[in-house]
Amino acid sequence: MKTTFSPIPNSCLRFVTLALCTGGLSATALFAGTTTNQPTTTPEDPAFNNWINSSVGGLIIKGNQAQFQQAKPSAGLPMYGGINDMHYEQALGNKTSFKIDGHAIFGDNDYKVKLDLTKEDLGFIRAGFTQFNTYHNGNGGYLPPSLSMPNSWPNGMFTAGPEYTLTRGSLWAELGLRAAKLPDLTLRYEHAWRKGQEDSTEWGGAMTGGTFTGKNPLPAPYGSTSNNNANRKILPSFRTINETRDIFTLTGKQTIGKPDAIGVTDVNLNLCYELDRMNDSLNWQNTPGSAPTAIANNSRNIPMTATAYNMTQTDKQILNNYNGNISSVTRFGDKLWLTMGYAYSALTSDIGGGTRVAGPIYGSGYAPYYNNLQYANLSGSYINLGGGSQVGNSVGSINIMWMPIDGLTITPSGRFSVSDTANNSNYLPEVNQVNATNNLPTGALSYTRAKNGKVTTNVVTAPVAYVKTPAGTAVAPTSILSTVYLNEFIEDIDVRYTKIKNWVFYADANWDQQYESTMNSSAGGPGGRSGTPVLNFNAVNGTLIQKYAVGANWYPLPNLNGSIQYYRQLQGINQNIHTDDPTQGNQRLLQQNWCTDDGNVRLTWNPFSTVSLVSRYDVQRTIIDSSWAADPNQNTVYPYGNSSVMKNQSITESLTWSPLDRLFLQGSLAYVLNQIDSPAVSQSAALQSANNNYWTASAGMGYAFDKKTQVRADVTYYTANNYQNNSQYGVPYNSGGTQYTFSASLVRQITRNVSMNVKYYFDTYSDTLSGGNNNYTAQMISTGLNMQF
Amino acid sequence: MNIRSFLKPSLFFRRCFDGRRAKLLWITGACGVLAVGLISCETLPQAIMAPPSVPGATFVGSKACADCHDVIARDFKTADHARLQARGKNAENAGCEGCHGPGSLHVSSGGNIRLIVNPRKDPETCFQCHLEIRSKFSLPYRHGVMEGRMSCSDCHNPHKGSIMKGGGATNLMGKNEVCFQCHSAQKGPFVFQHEALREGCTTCHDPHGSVNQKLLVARNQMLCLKCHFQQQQNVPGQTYVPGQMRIGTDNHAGNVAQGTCWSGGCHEAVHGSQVNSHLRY
Repeated sequence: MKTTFSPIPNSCLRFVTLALCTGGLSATALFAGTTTNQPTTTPEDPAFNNWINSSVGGLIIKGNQAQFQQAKPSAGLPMYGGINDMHYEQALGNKTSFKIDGHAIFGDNDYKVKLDLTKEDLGFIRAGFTQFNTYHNGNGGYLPPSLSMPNSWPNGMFTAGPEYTLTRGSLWAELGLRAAKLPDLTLRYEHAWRKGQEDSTEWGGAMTGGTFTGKNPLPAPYGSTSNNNANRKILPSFRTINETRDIFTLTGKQTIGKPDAIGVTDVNLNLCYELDRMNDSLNWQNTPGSAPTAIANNSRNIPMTATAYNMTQTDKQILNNYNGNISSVTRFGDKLWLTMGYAYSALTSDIGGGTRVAGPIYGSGYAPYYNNLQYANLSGSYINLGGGSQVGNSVGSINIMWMPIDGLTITPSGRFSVSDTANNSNYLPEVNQVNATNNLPTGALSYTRAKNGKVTTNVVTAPVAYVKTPAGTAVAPTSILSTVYLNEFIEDIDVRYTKIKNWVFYADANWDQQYESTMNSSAGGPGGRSGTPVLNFNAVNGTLIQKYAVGANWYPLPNLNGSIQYYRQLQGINQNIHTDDPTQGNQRLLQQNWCTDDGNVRLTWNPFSTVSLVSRYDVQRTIIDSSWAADPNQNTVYPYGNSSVMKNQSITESLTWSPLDRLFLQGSLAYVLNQIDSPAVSQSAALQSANNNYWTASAGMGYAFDKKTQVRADVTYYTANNYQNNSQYGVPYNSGGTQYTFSASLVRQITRNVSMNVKYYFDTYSDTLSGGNNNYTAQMISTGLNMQF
Repeated sequence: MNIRSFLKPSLFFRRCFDGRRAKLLWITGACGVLAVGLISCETLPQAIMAPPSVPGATFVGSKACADCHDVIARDFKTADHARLQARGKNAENAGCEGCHGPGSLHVSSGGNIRLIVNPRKDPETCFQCHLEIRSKFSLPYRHGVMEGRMSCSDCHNPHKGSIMKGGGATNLMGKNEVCFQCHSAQKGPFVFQHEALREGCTTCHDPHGSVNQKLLVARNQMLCLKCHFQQQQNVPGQTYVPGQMRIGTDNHAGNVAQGTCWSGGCHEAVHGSQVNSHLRY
């Protein structure tokens, strides 16, 4: 879904770009010859506070343009340009100054500007605007490796995926009062937005049941039933995004007491109201079988229809968030500080208007005819989603920074958080109901929960939306309630010792206790995955997280220093559950323990004044053991055992060498071993260990031809080679890809405050995972003019 | 590792010179470089320094910084980064100038912002110690720090308190709130929330960079099974059959062959769902 449009033929733009760049080169050379005797200086001339850097460039992409744009945000147009960076400041009379900063890259829709008018001892007015695009490759990232797949399938299957563009931006204004003897006050308003489309890693199905016999049958194993009776899900989905946020903030700060007095206290107050509006959707396409068949009333068995159909799930939400917090810092001299804070936030949300509808096109509305004949009951369709949430959250914190003796700093701290969340939703599921009649449920919905040690019972009457439903929808809406009550207490103590010359030792211990009570209750129409009408579920969850860290920094020589750090984190979760639904075999966590060991060591060494070496080694291992139960009520309990082991090691090196005053060389290298292993791999050939190993390397140089001319060049390399074609049994595993980039720039000082530059960038990427469909080669050349004043 | 491909210059050059326009670009650029090189071939000394640096500047010590940036200097003792400040001459350059570069020109110019290293504009300062993060920002999928869309300080506090802007015992803001500042759609609230959000967004995502789309720490079922795998044994009421892959009491052996847990049309609502307790949609 390409969203960029150029009214000018690309070839013309490329020609113009080349001409401009060639002109830039020629001008650089020309000026180089005429300014030999003029005074020159470094680009960072102290005499100039302001600057404006501009450029114009051209871009050639071969291969998958969307993948390149995703990696290096660019509109992909043959030509781009504008102001890369600017800063201007100007004194306006007595103690008043004006500043403007920003950039504007036309063609790439990349803008940022910030205005600042400040009067000392009075305040400021600031405003800003930011907007930029992100680009996304719409092929889902998980395509099967074979290029022999039929290319007539829709929506980018097996070919370069569609290109999606998402625009993110904000507009804000700030008014600040900074008058003596008055509190500092700042009033701010921001309107932010996120609009467009982006890729998703989710897929639509080829089909989930039956044997595919369409006109473009997928070859085995993707579309046959030869392996585990499974057909691959291979159609990538995408999301449409339409979100806005309006944020009003008032902050105040007052210092009580003289700045140097014992007990001087800074008090900070922050009040915030935020209104979020979200209207997003997830869209994907299914390609079912060859002929219409009877529709089964089973949401897990998607029926085959004559043609491909499109699913759209619309998620709407209006969210109001009120937040207030107050904090204080009291300084009893330099050696004892007391910090306290409290925050309360209240949040309400309205999710009304959401739907999940199948139809002949994306965004199809609910239509009984279609739903009866072909599209009903596909992938859990529903309409008329309503409901919302109410969340109350209190947070308090306190910490003391204390230096009892010279060189020793002790900081104990504590934090508590209490949140109470109540959610409800109701919706009308699409099922195979023809000429349905009223079928009101009887009674009311009730639930109990524990809060602050008290057991309370809430009773909610049945939703009134039980009306005679059109054919193809449930006779009664599904209604769901859920509540979550969460207490969290965190204690921490941090100790730092610096008395020993050239050494810093530190240790930190952290304990985090969480208590959670959860209740779910549903009633009405099909609420469970297989049409369960009623499900009540209660769980009480206790979590303890402990983290113990130690570390040291050492400066044995002026040109040698290092650091070492280790921590162990233990996380234990215990859960008691109860459900009155004996028909479900749901996975419910009883106990889970995480044990993470993490260490790193760094060494920075300058063996000569012209050489700097940095080495770093990081290692982490996490073991997760767990015990699960399946309903009903823990009668089916699986034994405690290992769920996974995660290992990560990285070794990184960096070298900077300046053999000459006019030359520097830089290089870096990183090798990372990353693996997630689980006993699950022994259960199915479709499962493999996850490996995310990779190399990255870079090299750079800078050379000053003379006092006015510099050249810089950089090369980067990335490769991952863990791709595993597991398509005989399941999805392909892991990643495989290689990327080279090369960039070079030539900077020529024209006058004391003017320089020109020419830049070239080359980027080539090969991707095994996509079967080569994500490969690209891109080249960019640009010329720029930098002015200081 | 496919190191041999790295050493194959033929691939590099073949792609560089592929096509007439590319050849034209290269020839144009080469001519320009040659022209400037010839014209500029002088022997005058000129210093050039590797970034991040401030050419011509020397170290002045953190006390000079405190003359203007008094609040930052005062509060820095509470910062995690204060662990870098040791006593003794060997560590005297590890103060403010350890990250911001030598400050003599910045001081003498009265605070010219171009004469000091600003890590907000150039993350190379942070990468001097955090080398492993630089490599993550070199991966195909990453947050836009290298592109200037974000800076390290959007998520981290370099000057005050905990290095993480959210979470821990000293922040009023929760650990996921940093992510929700931009990713508000994932915040919820949901009728059914994925409990993994309680563990933190980093349970499934690497915020710096990943070889996988969406910054996922794995692009396959292992992302979920690392927590959700249960022992496959006979238990009361359930008899284990070789070849099964039970999640709860359901055999998922066929499901895991269709796709990943979230992509295969089964558990799409990975952050939370308003309608389904199994996070199906």
